Amino acid sequence: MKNQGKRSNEPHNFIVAQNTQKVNSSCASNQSTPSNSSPSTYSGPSWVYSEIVKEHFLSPRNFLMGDESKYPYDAEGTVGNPVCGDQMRMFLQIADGRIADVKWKTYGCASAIASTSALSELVKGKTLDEALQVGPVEITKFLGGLPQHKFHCSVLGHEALAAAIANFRNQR
Amino acid sequence: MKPSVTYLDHAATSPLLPVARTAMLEVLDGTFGNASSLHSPGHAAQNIVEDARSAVAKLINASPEEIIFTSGGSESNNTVTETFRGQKIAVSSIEHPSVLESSRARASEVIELPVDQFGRVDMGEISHASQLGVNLFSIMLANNEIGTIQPVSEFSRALQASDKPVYLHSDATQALGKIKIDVQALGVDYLTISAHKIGGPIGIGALYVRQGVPFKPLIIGGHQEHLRRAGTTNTAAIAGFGAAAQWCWDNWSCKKWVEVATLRDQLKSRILQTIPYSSCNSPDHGCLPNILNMSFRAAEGESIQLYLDADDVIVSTGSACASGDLEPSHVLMALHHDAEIAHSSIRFSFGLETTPADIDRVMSVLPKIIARLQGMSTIKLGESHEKPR
Ligand SMILES: Cc1ncc(COP(=O)(O)O)c(C=O)c1O
Ligand code: FES
Repeated sequence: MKNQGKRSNEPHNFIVAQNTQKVNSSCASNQSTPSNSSPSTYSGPSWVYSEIVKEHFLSPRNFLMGDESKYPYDAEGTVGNPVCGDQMRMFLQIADGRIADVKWKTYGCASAIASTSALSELVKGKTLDEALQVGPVEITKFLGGLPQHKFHCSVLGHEALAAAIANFRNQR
Repeated sequence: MKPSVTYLDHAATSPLLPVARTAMLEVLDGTFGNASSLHSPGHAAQNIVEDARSAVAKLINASPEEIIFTSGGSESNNTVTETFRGQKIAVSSIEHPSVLESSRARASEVIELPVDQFGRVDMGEISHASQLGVNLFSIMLANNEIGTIQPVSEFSRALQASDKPVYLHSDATQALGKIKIDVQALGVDYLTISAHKIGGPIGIGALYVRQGVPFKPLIIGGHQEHLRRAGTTNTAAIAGFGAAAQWCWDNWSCKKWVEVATLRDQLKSRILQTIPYSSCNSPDHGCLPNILNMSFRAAEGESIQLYLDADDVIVSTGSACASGDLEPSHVLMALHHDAEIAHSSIRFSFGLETTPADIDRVMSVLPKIIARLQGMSTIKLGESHEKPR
């Protein structure tokens, strides 16, 4: 994922569609009953999401618990609206033009949580310009795909980061 | 079902009763005739269908001729709105989408009756609408998301007093088997029911049509169901439905559900006592015994649902992110006009096999899940919380 250079110009839909297919088909096979078990056997919870999404959702990295006033951040960016069911906030510590540390808060769905978690891992240590290259497509790829209607969750993550970087640049 | 799973999503669908399964297997293994055929296998199938019809009719105090088998609650609801195509239909604003959307698609005008904060339609609204030349009222007996029971018999009395000819339909899909249903006492002209909410199979339901009221089939091109619903009779599913209905009758299922209501109330008070910023969306009185809808401010419903899922507790949510072109539950929006409440809602729906251990199980995981989500949320708690309108 590192140093991908220029942001990919590939149409988002292509990558998402591919990933979606993968996710959907694995989802379908999770839901169908294994042929060697009796029809009434419940095969356990089946996840709409990839294993990586699940992992980041269940153990999110770098989230900020409670009041952000205890976290000395240099820049902050918020996108979304709780009324729409999603809001994301990124807090950055910036040193020598690089993201020294990142924390986030999210009110949103499982893939919103996983997207912000993944993004926080992806951009740590990057220069601001490098970090801005990490778009929804990169986040989605990193997560092993998101269902089509969940792509915007990764868009929100990217936008929150971009807003935080803009916030930092506007301070100067 | 894995024994370790606490399944609290019975309002979505409930497990097949063993008697229903047996009845279905007997048909699948033995009686393969077409119930419309005159030969003996056909006749055997027909007997099974008519026995099931009687069992279903008995459960709602109808006569068997008034029962039309359909593919489920959605089809039954669509059949009623098709009958009133081009006419004026009044519905409660918290109907199931198969009533709401099919009315919007077919009626000349749809009047959506508001509900109070408990989800109840006001009698005044009914009387008022009946003066506006409404041809059909469709008011569900019990709501699927919050459990509110509507005073349908009072509505029918008010409508009978009106001087205009007006018909009354009630979607009793969630109420069947949980509370006593008597179509005579309710005074309804049409009643929708579905098998899979009472332990029957998915894909079979029925519509009660009072004798002498208008009827127009939704599916035409066959003489089945006395020309009221075309299509080769689904004998196995009907047998399963009949067995489930008979089971409800034999076991006084409504009495059993009263015990489930105790568990439901325990979960409710434990949540309210333990979890900060929790609130209840189901009414204290006049609620189905098995449904509990709660909101957890600042915690988003889908995330709550999936964290619970990871802990083998299965529930559902009324949240749906607008950015994904989805709308939060129209039911909770009609109640509170507050999208945050809707986005933070979880429905727990109980089954007859739900035990106190299941409640303990929920309470062993839910407080931690909510604390974490509230802690990571962008929404600050304790701030004065203006309700978005
Ligand atoms: C109130 C209500 N009406 C109708 C339906 C639809 O029933 P079916 O799934 O049998 O089409 C449901 C179930 O989802 C319901 O809860
Ligand atoms: S944030 Fe909208 S569905 Fe995930």
